[in-house]
Amino acid sequence: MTKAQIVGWSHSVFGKSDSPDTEALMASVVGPALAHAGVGASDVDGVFVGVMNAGFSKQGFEAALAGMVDPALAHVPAVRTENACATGSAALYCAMDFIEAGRGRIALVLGAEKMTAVPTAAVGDILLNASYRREEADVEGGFAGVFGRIAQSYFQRYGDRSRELAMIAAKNHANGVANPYAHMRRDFGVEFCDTVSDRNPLVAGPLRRTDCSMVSDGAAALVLADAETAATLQRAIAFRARAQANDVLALSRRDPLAFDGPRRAWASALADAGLTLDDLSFVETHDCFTIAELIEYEAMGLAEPGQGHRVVREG
Amino acid sequence: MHVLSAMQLVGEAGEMQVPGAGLAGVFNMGGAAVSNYVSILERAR
Repeated sequence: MTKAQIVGWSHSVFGKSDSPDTEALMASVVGPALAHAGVGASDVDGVFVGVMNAGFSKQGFEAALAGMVDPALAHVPAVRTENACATGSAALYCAMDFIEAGRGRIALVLGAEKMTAVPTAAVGDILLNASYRREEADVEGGFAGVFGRIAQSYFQRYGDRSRELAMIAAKNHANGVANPYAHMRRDFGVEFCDTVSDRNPLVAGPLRRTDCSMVSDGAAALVLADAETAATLQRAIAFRARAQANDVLALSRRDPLAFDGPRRAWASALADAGLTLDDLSFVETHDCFTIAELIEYEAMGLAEPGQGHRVVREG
Repeated sequence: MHVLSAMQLVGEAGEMQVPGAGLAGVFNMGGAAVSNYVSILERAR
């Protein structure tokens, strides 16, 4: 079975984009990604589009927008995937499965989200589409409220880690200074992140604004090719392993602090790759909220449950 | 996240470059730990 490799890419800057809608965001990355890969639209066998939407735009059917952005793609089979905040990876993995099943040699993976075209007050409720509404829709603060509750439960079980959450926020903001794609590029420092103020109010539970990721627009595109084709192109990134692990949606049916799904995904991928965490040069981890990042340290095996704060303290 | 990791692995991350980046881990999460993806990436060429 041929393995799919990444052979080109393009990424927009995060922030309140001048691109007015999803289609325009897509347009900003499709051409550059194909050019980066050194392939033409006519070489693409399948298009995999990841857009969550969930209410950000009345324009759905986003897979078909690829053919609007580049008419040369209009006859290429295209499909949209969605897995809430993991929508991008969903599109990527489906595209890889397509190539690895021998259904095509080159695939375009395309993702975009226009969050800022709706009033900020509406964003919270839209994002609650990623929760089990029947039981969780009444949480105050939208999806941030879900993680506010998780933070509260974590503090109750393991102790107040507000300071370590602020250290995570400060670390991430400091990293943003060197990152030209970042929405915000200011080194706020731990004290600002750890102090509730007018400029850094509480958002949900113990989470302050700096503990929450921002409402932002962005787009990215990747070109995938089978290994044989990739060998003829300029660059290629291979996957030593990839794993998807799911867990039941309703928080009432599991221990929300266990992060069992992430734990299984990490264990599976590392086992398949024959690696340990120590072998990795770096990890890009999902930082929707600082409390999520803290628990992710535990799920990936950097610390025992409840000990994530030591990772922050001890570097 | 995969794009930013790819940039690191080919040494094109500019100011934010992790020196000698060889193997990358990417963890992407949907919902509150509901859909979970881990990719281990390396440069092939």
